[in-house]
Amino acid sequence: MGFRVNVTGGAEQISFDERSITKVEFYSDTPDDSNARARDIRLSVKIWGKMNFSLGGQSVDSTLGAAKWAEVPAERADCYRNAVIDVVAAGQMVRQYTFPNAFVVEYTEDLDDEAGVGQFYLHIKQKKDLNTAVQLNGGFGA
Amino acid sequence: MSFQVQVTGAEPFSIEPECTKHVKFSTDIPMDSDARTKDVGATLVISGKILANATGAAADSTRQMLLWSVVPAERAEAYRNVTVTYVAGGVVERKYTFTNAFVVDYQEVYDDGDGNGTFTLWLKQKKDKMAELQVEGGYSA
Repeated sequence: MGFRVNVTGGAEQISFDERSITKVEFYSDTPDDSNARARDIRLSVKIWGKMNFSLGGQSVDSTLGAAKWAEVPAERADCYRNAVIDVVAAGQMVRQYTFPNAFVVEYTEDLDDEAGVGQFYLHIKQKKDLNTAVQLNGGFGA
Repeated sequence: MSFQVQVTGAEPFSIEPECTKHVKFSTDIPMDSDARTKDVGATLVISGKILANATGAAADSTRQMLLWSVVPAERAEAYRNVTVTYVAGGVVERKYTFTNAFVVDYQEVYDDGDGNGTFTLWLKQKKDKMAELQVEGGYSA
């Protein structure tokens, strides 16, 4: 199973592929104590991956772009970006999540001097008033 | 051991028995109550695998749960009828019927160390419709 992440709408495109992404989680979350269906839906995606540093430009490593996105202040338009997350297995697009107004709620980078590569974690959410713009596709050839 | 999960309503679908791995039924009653409460809820948690096949077509109907989980509260399709049947040895051991089920949480997890993804669906019966909830079992399939 492989993953591809593509974020557009900022100064630079952020893209990761199956060589770096290790885990993806999708959440559709409403308050657990509600007695009936709640209007308050939180749609988010958590992404874990390896920081494959670009080694002088031999390959593109987008973790720097992700770190910069996480620091964009709220008054700037490019804090909201279009994020597409693909889950591919056996030649099939199992899921394709499209968040047109995604913003960063968590971003961490974990580096140490023993591991050859670092680890990053990116948690994005769709702007809640624009939840209906989220596209959840899947089940077609990749 | 086999689970049949059927969802009827706006867009009927059933989750394949190959997908469903685990079902948990629980009642939600305030534990600090000094006498029997009127405030009884029911929760159903269904989890299992998200399958892919090599033909390019969808291998299962798990995406229907994903789409259900984002239906806003103002639409009638947010509530659906869910039946979970658990069959063992030719006997229907349990059949849970949630007539007004709504999604509380839905989660999909994928890991590059696993061949398949996994889903978890949390459902609740609408609390004013608790009288319609049915738990049956003990008859031949």
